[in-house]
Amino acid sequence: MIKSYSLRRKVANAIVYTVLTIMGIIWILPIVYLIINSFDAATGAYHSYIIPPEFTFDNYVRLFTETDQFNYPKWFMNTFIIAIISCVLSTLYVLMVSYTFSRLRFKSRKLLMNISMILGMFPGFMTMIAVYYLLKTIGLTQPSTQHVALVLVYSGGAGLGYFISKGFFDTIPRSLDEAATIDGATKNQIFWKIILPMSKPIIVYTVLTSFISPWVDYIFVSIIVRDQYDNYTVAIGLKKMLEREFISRYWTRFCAGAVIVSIPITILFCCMQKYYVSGVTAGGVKG
Amino acid sequence: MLSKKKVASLILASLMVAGAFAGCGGNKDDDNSRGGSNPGSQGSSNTGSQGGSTTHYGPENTDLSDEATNGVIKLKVWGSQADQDILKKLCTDFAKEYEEGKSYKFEFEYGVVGEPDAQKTITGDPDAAADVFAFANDQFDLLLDGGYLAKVIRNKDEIIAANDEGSVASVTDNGVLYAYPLTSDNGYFLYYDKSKLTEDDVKSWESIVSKCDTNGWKYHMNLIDNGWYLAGFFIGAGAQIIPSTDNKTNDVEFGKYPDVAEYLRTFVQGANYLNGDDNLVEAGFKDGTLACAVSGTWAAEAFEGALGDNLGATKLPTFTTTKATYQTGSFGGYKLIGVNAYSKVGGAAACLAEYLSSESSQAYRFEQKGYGPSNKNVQASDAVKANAPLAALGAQSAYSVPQRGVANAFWSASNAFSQAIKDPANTKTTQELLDAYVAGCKEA
Repeated sequence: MIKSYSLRRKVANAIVYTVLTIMGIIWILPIVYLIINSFDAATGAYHSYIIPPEFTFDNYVRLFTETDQFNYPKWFMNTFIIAIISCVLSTLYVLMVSYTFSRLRFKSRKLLMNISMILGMFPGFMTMIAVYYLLKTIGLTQPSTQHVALVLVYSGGAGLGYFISKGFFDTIPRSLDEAATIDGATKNQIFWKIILPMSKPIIVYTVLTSFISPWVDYIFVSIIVRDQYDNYTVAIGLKKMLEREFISRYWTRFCAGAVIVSIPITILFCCMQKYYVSGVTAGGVKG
Repeated sequence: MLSKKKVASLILASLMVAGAFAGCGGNKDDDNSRGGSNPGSQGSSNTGSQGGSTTHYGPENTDLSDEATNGVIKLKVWGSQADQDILKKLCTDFAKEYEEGKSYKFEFEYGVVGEPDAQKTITGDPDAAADVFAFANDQFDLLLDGGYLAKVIRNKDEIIAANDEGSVASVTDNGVLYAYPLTSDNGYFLYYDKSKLTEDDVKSWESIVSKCDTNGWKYHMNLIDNGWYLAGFFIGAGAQIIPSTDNKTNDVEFGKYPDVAEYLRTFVQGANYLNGDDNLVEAGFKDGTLACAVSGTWAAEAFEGALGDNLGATKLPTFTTTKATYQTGSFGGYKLIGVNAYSKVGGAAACLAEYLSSESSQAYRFEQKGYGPSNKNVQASDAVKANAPLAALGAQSAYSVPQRGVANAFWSASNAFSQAIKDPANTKTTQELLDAYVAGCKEA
């Protein structure tokens, strides 16, 4: 047993930092490997070296120019459009539901809150087959309407994830609402003109989370898009590159594609980072 | 205050965990629910097509003009991503030939569903499935049980006569032919580096192993966790896998060959034995550490890129156990074209399937992509004979059995057996492991 407090702290810190460093390296390695591979000039999915002898930017260029076999630019645009629209819709749903639960008082409010909280805890893919057949019944699985179906799937249940932003809205003093009501504002006007302008962090947080899920989703796309090649999103398209016939020739391009996928999220995250943190923490604190 | 924070962090943490499960469990759930939804969806599709306004035409229909709606016959065709160009070209040719002098036109809708995925995509939603689709022969039993395959009626005898026995047998049930043979190239054989091994060396595993051990080279066969290759040794010895009657379990005769099991145990524990996928092989050939590998025609292009003219291909080597010398066997794999039994334009679909798998189409596929034909005439052509991987596969086909009725229990039992024999610390006798293997194949 070490008696000295400072020594004990140093030893403890040393152990903690070693463990954290090792975990950090393990966690980051696959990503580094992916990025290095995306610049590798050689083909093939496995090499006996880690740092390639020759680097090239070709994989990125060919990803966008050689589109006869794999049309990456098209997948990218498909994904982008779906993600943007679902993001806008789900952000609206989440904020509106949160506002309702936070500010309005009505019968069974508590019950609804509990039900939606529990429903929101079930993973969405649980219902995918049922969802597919529902969409099919209303004709949304046709090649031309599949993207609408995807937007609906991604944004439809978004309101269930209300609790973080409701927590945030709860921190905004109700006296503001009361003042606005005295001035003649309706509940709707209060939401748009009083609450929202004050809720930048939570809006940013909601935007981020609701953009990422459609952007990276694989399960629902594969269920809904099925055999329609032109409607592929990046996730399902990139998976195709890894099939037995393609992997040897397309592995490096797959890596390049995967790196590019991460760029919009990274940009979005960098721009909104400071709000993100305050959004998460503020949502949990009642002021 | 603190407690609220705690609650929030708990919620966040559980959300993240849920997210993680969503990622991992996704596929499994996917498969289960698909399998489960199979019978139900079938029923709904049946009523769907009956309730529809158009009449349902089977493959026996010969007057295609009946099937046209407003002078157009719409056909949906599935092929793998790599084959889309070939498919479009052949379909256009088909339309030209069959529209001539007729009142109707063809319209094609192409879908990307590769041969390995055909069965699960069809069972997922039979209504949205293609009229004509390509599939691999391992899905035949499931497709047949589900009633998704229309019988081949027109020119049946000509088709049987034109294609090799294995490919025809792989889709014949009780004397009825259920699909059109397309390729005979979905099996495995030996690739080797000519600069390391001679033609004599690759005749037996023993000479390969001894030469590799002397020079420190690796030899490869993907035996661990892969029953498809593992079975080759037992098949070669003459053991049969009795086709499954319940699509879940298999009776296997492997128990009669403890010598083969013993041989395998030594083989996979060899110092230079390499297990892994094609990517590992490609890299090994490239950096010169690997002398030979077992794979199929799909990898030919990648391996050629790695070895160039030094790439050799031949039938699998023989192996000598304590009892006898056997030729290593293999599963023969075939790709086929099926006509959807639920197709409303069955007659036209059957015509298209026949055209896509015809002699000229198979020759065209070989020219474009090097696919190994099942058509005997194309197989006999000089160009095909000169193709080393296909020639090797042809030589191996004498020792291969079609993969019919091999159920899930067989694959998982093979995985367990391969793991057990690989582990040098495993103290059980080979006989015990083999008994467990055979028993495992019978356990659902």
